[in-house]
Order: sequence, then structure tokens, then C-alpha cells
Amino acid sequence: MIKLLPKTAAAGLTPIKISNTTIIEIDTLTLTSISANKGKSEKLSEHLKKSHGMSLPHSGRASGREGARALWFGQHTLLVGPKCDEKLNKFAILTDQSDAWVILRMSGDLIEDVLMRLSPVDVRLKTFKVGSVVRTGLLHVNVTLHRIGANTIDVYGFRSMAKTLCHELTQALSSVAARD
Amino acid sequence: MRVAGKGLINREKTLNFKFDGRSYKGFEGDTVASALLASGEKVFGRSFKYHRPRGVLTAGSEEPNALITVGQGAFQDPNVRATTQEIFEGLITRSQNNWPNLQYDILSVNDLFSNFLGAGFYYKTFMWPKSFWEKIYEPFIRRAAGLGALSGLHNSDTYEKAYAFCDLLIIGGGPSGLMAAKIAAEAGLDVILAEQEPIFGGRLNSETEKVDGILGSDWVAKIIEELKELDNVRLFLRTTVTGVYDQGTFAAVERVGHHLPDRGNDRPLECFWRFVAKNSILAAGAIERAIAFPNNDRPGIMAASAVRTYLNRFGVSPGRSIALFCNNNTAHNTAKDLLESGINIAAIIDSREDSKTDLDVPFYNGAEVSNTFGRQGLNSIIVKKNNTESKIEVDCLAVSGGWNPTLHLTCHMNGRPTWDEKILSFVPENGVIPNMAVVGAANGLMDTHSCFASAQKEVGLIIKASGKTAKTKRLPKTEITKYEISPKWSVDGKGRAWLDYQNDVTVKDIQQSVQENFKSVEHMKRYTTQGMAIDQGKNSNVASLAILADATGRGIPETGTTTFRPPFVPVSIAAMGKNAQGIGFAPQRYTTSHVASVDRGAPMVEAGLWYRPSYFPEVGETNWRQSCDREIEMVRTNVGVCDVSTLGKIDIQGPDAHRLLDFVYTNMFSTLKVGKVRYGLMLREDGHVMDDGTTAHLAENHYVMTTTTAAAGQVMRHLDFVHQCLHPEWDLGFISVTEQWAQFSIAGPKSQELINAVLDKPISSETFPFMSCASVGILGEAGRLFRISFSGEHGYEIAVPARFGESLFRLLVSRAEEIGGGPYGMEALNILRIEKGFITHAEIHGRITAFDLGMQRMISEKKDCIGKTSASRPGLLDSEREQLIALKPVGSVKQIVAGAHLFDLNDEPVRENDRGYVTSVGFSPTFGHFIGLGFFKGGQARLGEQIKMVDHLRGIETECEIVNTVSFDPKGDRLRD
Repeated sequence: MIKLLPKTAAAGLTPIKISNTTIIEIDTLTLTSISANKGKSEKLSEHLKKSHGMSLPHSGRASGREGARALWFGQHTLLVGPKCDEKLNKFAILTDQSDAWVILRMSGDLIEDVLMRLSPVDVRLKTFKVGSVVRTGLLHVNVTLHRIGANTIDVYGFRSMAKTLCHELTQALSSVAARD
Repeated sequence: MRVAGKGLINREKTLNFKFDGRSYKGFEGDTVASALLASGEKVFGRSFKYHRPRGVLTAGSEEPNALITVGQGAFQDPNVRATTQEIFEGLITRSQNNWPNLQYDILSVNDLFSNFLGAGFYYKTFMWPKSFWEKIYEPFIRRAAGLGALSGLHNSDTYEKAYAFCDLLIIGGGPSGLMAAKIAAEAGLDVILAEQEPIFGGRLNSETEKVDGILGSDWVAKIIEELKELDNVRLFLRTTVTGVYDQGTFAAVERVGHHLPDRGNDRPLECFWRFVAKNSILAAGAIERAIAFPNNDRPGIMAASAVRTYLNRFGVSPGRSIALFCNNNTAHNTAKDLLESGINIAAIIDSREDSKTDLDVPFYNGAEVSNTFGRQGLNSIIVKKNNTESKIEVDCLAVSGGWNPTLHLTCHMNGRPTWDEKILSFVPENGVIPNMAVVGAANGLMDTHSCFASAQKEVGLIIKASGKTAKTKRLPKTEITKYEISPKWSVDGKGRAWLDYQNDVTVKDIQQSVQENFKSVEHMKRYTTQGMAIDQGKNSNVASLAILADATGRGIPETGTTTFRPPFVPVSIAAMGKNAQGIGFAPQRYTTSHVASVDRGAPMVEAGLWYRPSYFPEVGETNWRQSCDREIEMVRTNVGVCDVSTLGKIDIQGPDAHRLLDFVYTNMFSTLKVGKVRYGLMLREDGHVMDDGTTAHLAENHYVMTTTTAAAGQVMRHLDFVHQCLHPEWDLGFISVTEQWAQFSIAGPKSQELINAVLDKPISSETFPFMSCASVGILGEAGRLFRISFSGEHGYEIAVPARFGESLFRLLVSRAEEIGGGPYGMEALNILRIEKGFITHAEIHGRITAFDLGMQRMISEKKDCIGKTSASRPGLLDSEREQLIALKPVGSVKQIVAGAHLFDLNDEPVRENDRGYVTSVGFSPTFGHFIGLGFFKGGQARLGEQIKMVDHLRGIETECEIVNTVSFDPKGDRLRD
């Protein structure tokens, strides 16, 4: 039987390596948008913990750990990693968004310098600590930034804009790396 | 000439550069100005209007005369101040505004006619004949009176834009700024220190003054070493803060690559920063002003402070025999420093009657310089004391008319400075920029101790307010020179006395402006052009308005200043426009079928940010119309595949989801059964149509709404508004799934055959009738199927998670081709829908109601909806409104064009007779003629009548008949089949 072949959002665009900073695509995760039903946030948080090991994150934060994280995503929470436990639909609206976002993982010494050139938020480690999440612009593209380590930040962008995102990040990275 | 043992330059490293084609040498740390002065050059450029030879006046970014072009070809950069351009090996520079060369400039003939070229001469001279202005006068004036020019080539330099955040932004790295930075950083504040020069220190690098017993520049180096040790202070060199904006936002331009010989392709030339600071300290120092005496613009006449800078920072004496003309004490330091270096001081001319000096030099108090000589360079001056004139031979005259605090940034949010009679300068008003303190010379403090003390006080307040404690208590010891200024703005006498060197404005021009009743400072500025162009009058503003005050008989405080606006120094448009050039201009959105479409040679068209295939050319097709016509026929007779993923898709869930749909759509959705799709129309609050689309009822309390490509964001925002502001009590949620699903339209008589080739379980027209929807298995993957049609044919839309999009598209197209079908693009899609009278945003452009579209009956009587009340206003239901019609040509001219206007057949096609316009057109191969949609006053009642289409721009006039908007298959049998 013929099968449909999957293609990742940033196929052919990554990896990018300039100086000691790299950008790779994270493409093995299931993404589920979780939106609590009216008055069900606490219950949801409880059951999220039971099913996936983390409570609902506070605003501007992520909970959980690599492989199973919940990111504050504005009006929604994004469960990143595991296939979402269907039973959570008693407390929340669940929407599969696995194919909606491109996740670009930036690692290296220049990540802050690069994002300073593209996003109007303070991304320095002392203000944008590990576990922080911010929804902002990356030039003209709406993105969510998630700091997962001192030298690593994940950039979530629209799948359709993956090429533009990689272009902007590459340009800023080349420009920053060309400085002394 | 170079002075041994002086300067902060690196004499170990010689650098070669060019000016006007000649080779020069300088040292690392030199500017073009200091290196040329060291080589004995006097003339740096020609003045704007009279083309008079001009030398360097200052040693900073305020320089009005020494403007040069740096670089060549596409990289050339005009109007660079020679005083700020650092030299590097291989630097190429040239002078501006002269022909054939700097020494013999033909247009210096203007100088002979200066009596006719005074203030306002453009306005008076070139009034007649009117038609001459654009073709003759203006091009001539532009060529004659000019600054540097751009290359006209594509700018291939790299630029950057960036953001930085801090607790405290300190603007200016002189003594005040350094002191503030040290105290703030030690107290733990997050500090940015921005200095426009390539080295920190400000005036301390230009003076021989000692701080804590060591040379000022050594003290600076010590402080910088201390600051570098701290990780909470960021030091920005070559960075000029150019503007102040709301909420603690500052613009700054960093010159990243201007001083480097080989930047490579990636290193930016400039970075345009947006600093966001909780607090700021302005420590921008002060700028020395000149005195307007006759012929005061000769090369060799300079600011006294600049002479000190060239001597102490660059080890250069701008002359061999130097005189000094001043009205305050600071200038005497120039003579002192030069004497110590063995340079001859020909005279000190101090306009103050009671002034004194300890220096062993000819001293004239209560005197003035009444004239000067030397066309290509100063050779002598006339000193006038008690009506006695004496001639002194000098090759340099250092002038100080006092200092103007650099308060420009404090005026960027409408602040006006106040006049301080004691220092004869404007000083900033307190608190005009929220959370900004002004310290040091920028606040009118003219000695280093007061600068340190003011920095300590102001930064102390900021530290305290931040809940931290200042650690530095003691201030460094300094020597104090008392400023002691008395007024001396101008000197009477024969010959022009220049105020604004850059714009060739003299004392007489200002007096003439007053005579002609341009008395307000703002009018004077426009009339004389004083204070315009690159230096923005940094040297000349205060002196000019002092002359204006004198001529009008008003005081200086009443006269006031012109408005200082950003930017403080010129900023390249390229730096501000970074990210808006070329490919970075807008994000590009690609569908999953993009590569497959491009592989087939499809030209792409932009639809919003999306790229969609226009048509799919086949071998032998040389014109898009051939492809388009073939694709239409293919869909009408066979089957076509088209990517429709760009349409907005909004997943709506929850027990109150149907309420939301009923409220935002004009028609009823709560009656829609699971497994069914309905077309809906959405109005704005004002009753006009916002968008249209279909919504599918996928499962209990689960809908998916589609929007047009163009209005996807607007509809999402609208739903958010309705839910969050109008009905927060509803229990529902929605989220965009546009990016999640790749969706393809399959249309044509063979569409069912094609769809069944990929479905896990085949469907039939009976099991899956028109307007059905379902979750389906597509080659083992979970997908969605909708039986809807935008072409009027039996059709489907099939959706899969985006990762499978490309694979499914390629498969559908190849299967379609096996049965005589293929892909179709936007051109064909457009004609297919026009044939069916389906609307797009060409029609629902924002001024159209449901009534205008003939869809008034879609506004349900049984329920309320957004826009319903507004849409029922009598004016919106007038039968004479412009209503949707379709057109076909009936005369000898067969073309219908979009944007053309419609008239009654016998009316003259003039504006007053306009009855409507054409919105969408195309050639219909199905009918063999052009068809169009448009709006016509009272059009729905005029079916079958002939009217006239006129395109005034293209000169096309076509007789048309108003026909049924649904030209093709009016009963809809084909799509229900």
C-alpha cells in the first residue's frame, strides 16, 4: 500500500552552524494545545500532573522537563513531547498542533546576541531565565521563545514561515559572528 | 604639523590613506581631520552656496565644514565628518561640492555674486516663469548647491538593528558619564554607557587637566579598566544616542564597521539600537560656539577647544603661529597647552575688558578680531582695540564664544530649554524627559569638579530609588578653571560674518530676515536655512538667535530656540531600514505543495504573505492564458487539484460553540447537524460584510471554520473580541489550525474517482452528499474530508496534517494526471469562481453589505447577530445602492478590465455620471468571452440591460450587458451531482 511520506517543517533548512552557535530543528515531538474548560484549570493541572508529570505552567514559564513539557502559550498551554492523554478532554479542549509549529533549537554563545537583533524583549539569562517562555516578534514573525538552558533557546514559529525564520536567524547570526 | 610627545595616537603604527586622490600618512587613532591637519592641509571642502574654501572647524560630530565622501562605488558614503572618520590602511576619501577640484572650484564664482544670493533668494528669484522651476531652476540649483551624493547603485553594505535593555542608560562617556557609570555599576545597577567617540573620556582626552594627580586621559583608562571588570555594565563605543522616545526608549547608532579596512561581507557598517532604560543620565557635554566676526570662515580659523583636542589627543598643531580670540577663561588653556608644546602664540585677544593672563604672550583685553585675510588659508588677522587696528600674521586662529550645553535630547519630547544668564547659554529644563537626569556640562556645569559632583548626586538618587546603596563616596581631585564668560556674539565691520558655516548663513542674512518680517526664530530658520542639514546648527544656533534677538529688540529668552528633533547626528536610512530590504521585507509563507509546484514550473503569486501557484505551464504553452484556459477546461470536464491551505482554519470547540457561530454569522448555525457544512456570511459591527466562508460541524460541540486567506487574522481577532469582551460567559475555546492542516481542493466531474483513490474507505454521492464533512483515513493517516466547491463542479476539500501535505499533493496530482486531470492555479481558480458568481475580497472590500450582494436573506430573522441592526439602516437598504452584477461584452470591443467604471449607455463617461465599477474579470473559455463582476447602482433590477464600461486610464470602452451573477450552471446541478 502507498504511504504518505512525512516532511518536517524545516526540512533542508537546518542544521545551521556559524561560529560555535547552531540551529537545529526539533521534529520528533507531539504538540497539543490545551485550553482549560470554564472553571476547570485546577482540575486540569492536577490531571496533567498525573498523566504527564507536570502542573500547568505559570504565565511566562514552562513546566516539566525535556521530552514532556508544558509551555505557557498565552491563552493556551502547549504540551510538548508526549501524545496527550485523551482523558484530559474532560477538563480541557485539546487540539493537535504537532504540524503547526516549527521548533528551532538555538545553542551556543551567540544566541542572546542574535535574538537581541530580532526580538524586542530582554533575552539575557539574568532576566530571561532557564524555563522562561515569552511570546514576541522575531522581526515580522510571531514566535514563542523558550529558554531551556543557559546557552539554548527554542524558537517556535509558524510552520509556513520556517524558511523566513531560518533566513532571519542566519542573517543575524552571520552578522553577530562577524563582529570581533 | 605633528607635535612630539603629545597625543593618544599610536605612533608605532603608520596608516596610509587617500584624500582627493593624493596619498597621506597618519597614525592609528587619527581621524581624517587630524591626519590631514598633521600633513599641513588647510582646505577640506567647499561651502554649500558660495563654494568658499573651508577648513576644519571642530573636532567632533558637530563639524559643519569638513564633510567628505568615504569609500567608492556602491560603498560610497557621503557627508561623513572628517572629524569623526577614523583612518585605516587603504581608506579612500574625497572632498565634496567642488568642480573641477577642491583648490579651483568654478562655482566659487557664486561668491562674487553673494549680494544677489542672500537669504531667501530662491524664493524671490525663481518665481517666474512658473514652468521653469521644475525643469530648469531646481535641477540647476540642486547641482550647484549640494552636499555629497549617493552612488546610485544598490547598497551592498550590511546593517543591523538591535534592542538592549538596562536599568540605567548613560549618554556620553566623558568625565560626568564615567563617574556616573562607575558609581551606578558598583552599586549593582545594570548599566549601558554609550560614547560616540572611539575612545572614552570626552574632554579629558583633549585637556592637560589632572584628575587625582594623574593626566585626565590616564584616569579615564583606569576607570575603564575597572568598569570592564564588572559584568553589569556594557560599554558602547562609537555609539551616538540619536533620539528619545516614549517609555524610556532611546535610538542610537553604533558605527560598527566605518573604521575597518576589510569588514568582509557580514560585518555590519552600522547598528541601529533601541535602548530601553528604566532611567537615563544625559552626560553629553557641551559644544563650543564661535564668534561672528568679518571673514571668520577662512581655513585655519577653528574652535579653541578643537585646537586643544588636536594638540592633546592627536599630537597635531593646526598652525605654526596661532592667535586666540575669546570671551571666556577656558580658551586660555589653548594658549597654555600650545606654549608648553613650543608652538608660537601670536596673540590672545580677549573681548572682556577686565580679563588677564599669566602667560607670556601678546595680550589684548577688551579687543576683537575685526577682519581676516587669506583665501586658501588664513595668513593674518586685524585686531581692533580702542578703535586702533593692528595686523597680526597667523596661520591659525582659535576662537571661543563660550559653550552650549548639548541638551538636544532633552527637547525630543517637546521640552524647551531655559536661558541661563550666568553662563549665557540655554540649559535643560528639569524633568522634561521622564526619568532622565542631566549632569555635567550638558547641564551647564563648566568645570570638572562640578561635573563629577552632579553625576554623583543624580546617580545617587537613582541608586536609592532602586533600593541599592552607592559605594563610591569620594570624588577625585580636580583643578578648577573658572568659566567667567561675558557676551560677545559678533563683531561689526566690513565683510561677511558667518554664523552657520554649513549653510552659508551670515549675520546680515539674519538681519535681512528680520527686515522682511521673518522674525520668529522658526521663520528665520526657514528663511535663511540656518541650522539645517547635517550639523543641524549645533555650532550656530545660539549665536544666530542672539543676533536675531538683537535685531528684533527682544531678549534671548523670549526669542527662544528652534525645535531640536531626532536624530542628533545623521543616521543612515539603510540602518533604520535594516530588515525591510530585499527578502527581509516581509515574511514569506509557503504551503506544503510549494516545492512540488515550483518543480512543475508554476510561477508564484503573492496572496497576503502566502505564495500560491499562478498556473502550471505544460510543454508547448507559451502564454499564461493557454495554461489557464486548459486548466479551466480540465476542471470543467475532468478533475483538478489545487492547494487551498492558505485559507484560515479555526478550530472551535465547547458547549457554547454554536452560540458563537450564531452570533458572528448572519445565518443560523446551531441547526447544522454533525457531519454537515454550511456557507456563512460574517458582518462587522457597522453592518458591512467582513468575511465569508464555510463552517463544518465535525463532531458534537466541535466545529472548524474556514475564512478567506486575506481575512484569516481579522476573523481570528474578531472571534477573540466577541468571546473575551462580549460573551466571556460562554464556555468554548478556539484556536487557529491553519498551519496544522494541508488542504487541497479536488474539483471536477472525476473528483470522486480521484478522492476514492486515496481514501481508506471509499465514499459515494449517496453516502457523502454535497455539503458533507467527516474525519477520514487517508492512506492510513487521520485526515478530514469536506464536500464543498468553489468552482461550481462536484468537488471536495481534503485535509491532512501538514507534514504529509507535499506527499499527498504529489500523489493526487499524479493520480489526476492518470485520468486526464492535473493541478490548477490561482488564475483558473479565479475564472471558475467568477463563472459561478462566487465572491472574494475583490468584492467584499469593506464598503459592501449583504444587501449589495443580493444576500440580504442570509441575515436570519430568527436570531441576533453582529452587524444585524446596523445593516438594517435605511441607507444600507436603498435600491439605488451599488449592487453586485455580472457583465458580458456585447459590442465590438470585447475586453472587460478590473477597476474600470460603469456608466449608463447614453451618459457621457464623466465622474458625475459614474454608476459603478468592475471588481473581478477574466476570459472565460467556457463561454468564449470575457466575464466580469462589479457593482452598479440599482444593478439587480437592471438584469439584461446594456451599459458602458470605461477604463479612462487604459482608454478602453466596452459595451456590456448585465447578466445573472451565476453565469455557469445557475441551478447548481453539477456541484450537487
